Amino acid sequence: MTRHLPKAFAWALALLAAQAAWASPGPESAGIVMLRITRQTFDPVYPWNKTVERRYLGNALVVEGDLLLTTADMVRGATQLTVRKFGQYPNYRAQVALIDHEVDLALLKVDDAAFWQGLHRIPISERPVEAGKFEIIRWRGNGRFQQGTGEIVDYRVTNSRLGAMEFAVLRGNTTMDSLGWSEGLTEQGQLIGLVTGANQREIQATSGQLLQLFVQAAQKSPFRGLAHRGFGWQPLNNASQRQFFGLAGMPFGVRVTRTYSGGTGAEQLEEGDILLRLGAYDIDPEGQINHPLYGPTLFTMAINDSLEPRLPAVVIRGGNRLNLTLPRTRFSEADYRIPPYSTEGAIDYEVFGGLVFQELSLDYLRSWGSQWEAQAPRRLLLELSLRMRREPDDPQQRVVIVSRVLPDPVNLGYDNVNYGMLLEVNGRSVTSLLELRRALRTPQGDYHLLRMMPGQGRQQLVFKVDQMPEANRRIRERYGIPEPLTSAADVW
Amino acid sequence: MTGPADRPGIGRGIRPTAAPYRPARARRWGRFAAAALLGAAVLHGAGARGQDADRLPTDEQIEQAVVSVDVTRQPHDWYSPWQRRRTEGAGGSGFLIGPGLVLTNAHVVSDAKQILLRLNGDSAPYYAEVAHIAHDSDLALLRVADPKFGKGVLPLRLGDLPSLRTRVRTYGFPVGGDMISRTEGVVSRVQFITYAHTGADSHLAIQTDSAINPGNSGGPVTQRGLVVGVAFQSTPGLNDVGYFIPTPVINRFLRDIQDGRYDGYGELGLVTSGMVNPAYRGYLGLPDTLTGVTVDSVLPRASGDGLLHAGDVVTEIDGAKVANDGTIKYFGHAVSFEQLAEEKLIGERVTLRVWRDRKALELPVMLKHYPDSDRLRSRYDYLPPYFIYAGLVFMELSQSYLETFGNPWQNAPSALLLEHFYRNREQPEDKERRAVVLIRVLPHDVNTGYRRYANKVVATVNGVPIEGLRDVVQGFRDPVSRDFHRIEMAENGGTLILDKAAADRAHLEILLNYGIQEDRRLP
Repeated sequence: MTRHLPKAFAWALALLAAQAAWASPGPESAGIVMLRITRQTFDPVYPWNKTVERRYLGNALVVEGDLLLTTADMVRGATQLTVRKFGQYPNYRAQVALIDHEVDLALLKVDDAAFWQGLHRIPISERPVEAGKFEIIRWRGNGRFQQGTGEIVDYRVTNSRLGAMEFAVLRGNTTMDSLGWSEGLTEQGQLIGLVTGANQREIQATSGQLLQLFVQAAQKSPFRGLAHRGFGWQPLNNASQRQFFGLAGMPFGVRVTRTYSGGTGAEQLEEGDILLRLGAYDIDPEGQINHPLYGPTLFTMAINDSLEPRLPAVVIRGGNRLNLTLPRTRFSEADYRIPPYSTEGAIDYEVFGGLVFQELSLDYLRSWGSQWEAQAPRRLLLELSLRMRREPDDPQQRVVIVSRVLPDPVNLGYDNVNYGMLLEVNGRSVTSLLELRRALRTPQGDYHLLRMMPGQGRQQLVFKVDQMPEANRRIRERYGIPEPLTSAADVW
Repeated sequence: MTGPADRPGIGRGIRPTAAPYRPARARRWGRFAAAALLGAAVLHGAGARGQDADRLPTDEQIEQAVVSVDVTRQPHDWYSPWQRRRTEGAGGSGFLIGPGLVLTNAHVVSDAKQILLRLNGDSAPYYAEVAHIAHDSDLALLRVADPKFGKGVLPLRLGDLPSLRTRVRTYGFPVGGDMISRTEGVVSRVQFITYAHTGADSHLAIQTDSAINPGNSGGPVTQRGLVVGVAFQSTPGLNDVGYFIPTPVINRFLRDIQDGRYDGYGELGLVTSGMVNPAYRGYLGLPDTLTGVTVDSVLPRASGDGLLHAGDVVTEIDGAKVANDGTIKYFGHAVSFEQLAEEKLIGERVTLRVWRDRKALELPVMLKHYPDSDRLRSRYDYLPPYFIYAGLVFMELSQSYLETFGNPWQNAPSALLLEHFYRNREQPEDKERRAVVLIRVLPHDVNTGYRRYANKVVATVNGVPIEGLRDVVQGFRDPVSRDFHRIEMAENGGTLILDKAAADRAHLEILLNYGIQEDRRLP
């Protein structure tokens, strides 16, 4: 019949058909939803203030258990989360069910049952795609579903963005722009990654294997999550090294150089151990294993190969071969001298004599903006780079810094201690705000004596005890600082 | 004074004003002749008490005494310390201060292989040699042996510190032409600044809005016919901000070389803060009548080390009262109290009046060479020490080595930055230690797998703690066992093992393969 239609009418029908195909998304659109985030964080510089709230758009993927999977970075500091399916009204309220900054993943729950109607999860593929193309799926702010393509570059073992966990990250190229908002990567209808960052045409994504592990871990109570490596190591790929350490002729083994204050192997391994085998893998002299999913890769991938609570290891110690069982553990907040993320909303601080004291954190350094690694105070950046984690038996819990000097007559002349590290107060070593508060209870006679790290401006600061109650009240009033959240007000 | 570690990178953004190579205007060479005795000649020309003291030169006479300086330089290579880098051309200015003697900036003639001078209005080039060079104060005295050089030209004489807001003239050969340039401006500031040439030395300098551009370096800045300074650096990005080295610094240089050798500055080594906080003053029991600065720390191994302590208050220096902001009155200017120590030579004393334990006391401090200053400065005219064994290249950590990373703060490993800029302040108990770095691994079978340890600090070699490059050599002399050398990197950074026999065999082969004549140059 068509052939009898006028040409113009046939063209019009064809155009309508094309529009319908474009407007009607594929089946993947039912596995990903639009996420709207309102974020308001505490101001790392003036920690009693909150920053102006900002709104972001991102994505979340439907996973089993009627949950949504997105990155932790997307939802941290969120004051409101809403989701929208198929890019259409209405919005549904979402809540964070689980957030793990170490792996940069979070699960969201939506209580309204209507939300889940019509949605279905995209199966997660554990097996990495070694080469070739993938599809990128996302929702745009205009309510349109968008699909694009990209090409896999490789999988690389790297540290997580915020924490110190190691896992394989998918790296790829694409021509799509404005990525990095938890878009999904699919291949043949299966989810192979979640985009965590983008730089022009290069993207980074959490691999399907890690997504699957995280989702499985979330189903267990209590949540144990993925584990950290609790030791440092060096390859033994020099023939003289191998001979010296008695490994000549043996094709396996790397050397443990140190242990950390937490993490897998921290308590069982010793400096000087030759680590031959971890989990199911023999470790070659360069630290590589032959992983069934990733092929030749770094042996540290064995730590999170599964969620088993224990990990077998074989070491040579003092010439003896030992079979060890390493509990798979992760760093706690106490294992960091400089926390890479905050698990609490508020930032603890102390204002004394107009000096704002905080515990140094990654969030504080990031407050210098997108170029923070070049612009934040150098000495503090070095501290982060070299001493983020605590050493075993390290008495230093945190690094207390003067984040700001609020000018007042009591701190006249002390303005050059900005960004300095506090060492002692009234003769006591101070490695946390709690210790600072305690030390301020015991002035030295009529004075409080504070000692800063040498080389960063004034080294000693003196405050007169009888002036401090009035001075602190005046400073709080003048600079609009609320009463402290702690009960330390009676200290001065 | 060397003041780098308290403010690493403070000199960034300020650049010396030597110019890149300018083609010579003529190619008629002079020749060297016998050198004259330097000290007496300099003082005769430079001092304002010579026989022509009362006769000030005209503008024309000043211009006749200004020289252009064309230099072919060849810096040392701190990444491949056994060799030099490519030659490069540079140019600057200078001026006659005595018969056959020209004053210019150190940075104009650093690492020079050939120096050619041309007097203004005389196209004849004359070979010059560096008679004395003071990298720390960016001054150099050049000597021309040819007696025809400067014949009939009146050497310029030095004046005093100019007053604020008075006018000065800058002469020189900045880029943009071959003719002499003269610009005018006013004295904007008199203060201590970091001299960019070494990046680590702070001295008195004068800021002016008289245009100081690349090529002006070394040229005279005059006032009423007398030289009041040597143009030396500017601040890119700021309009009309140039600096010149004032006569107190120049006079000190000329006095230092009178014995035929430049010894450099003694370093008090005091890190101080102002003394304005009432509570702090009360705590120290400082009478209201006293002003001064409190000592925060004393640089290990500096002149004040062991004599002054944190918490001391310096109230006077050589009888001059120190204000609460650390300044003294100096020729009508408020400048850092350290200026009075700056004027002294090594071996001379400065007397500090100090408030300690609620009592005033006088402390004579003999100024001595500050051994750490060499590692903190950018180095020139200096052969970098190194040691190579089995392809492992070791050097002591230094500013010049860090500069091989381009911008060290962006590219150098954090551990090296912490070690270089902060450790001696934060851990003064280790003050004798000079960190040694494995800077490179020249690949060979014997050192397979060790490139990853490049740019790590070495802790021990065969059990010998490494506190300097010579310790590395000593360590390799005594293997931990008959068969192996063991190298431990600092901070649990790993253990390197070398088969002694194989390393000995490979050593020469590696040197030959990589074109290295000598396996060591020790400090």
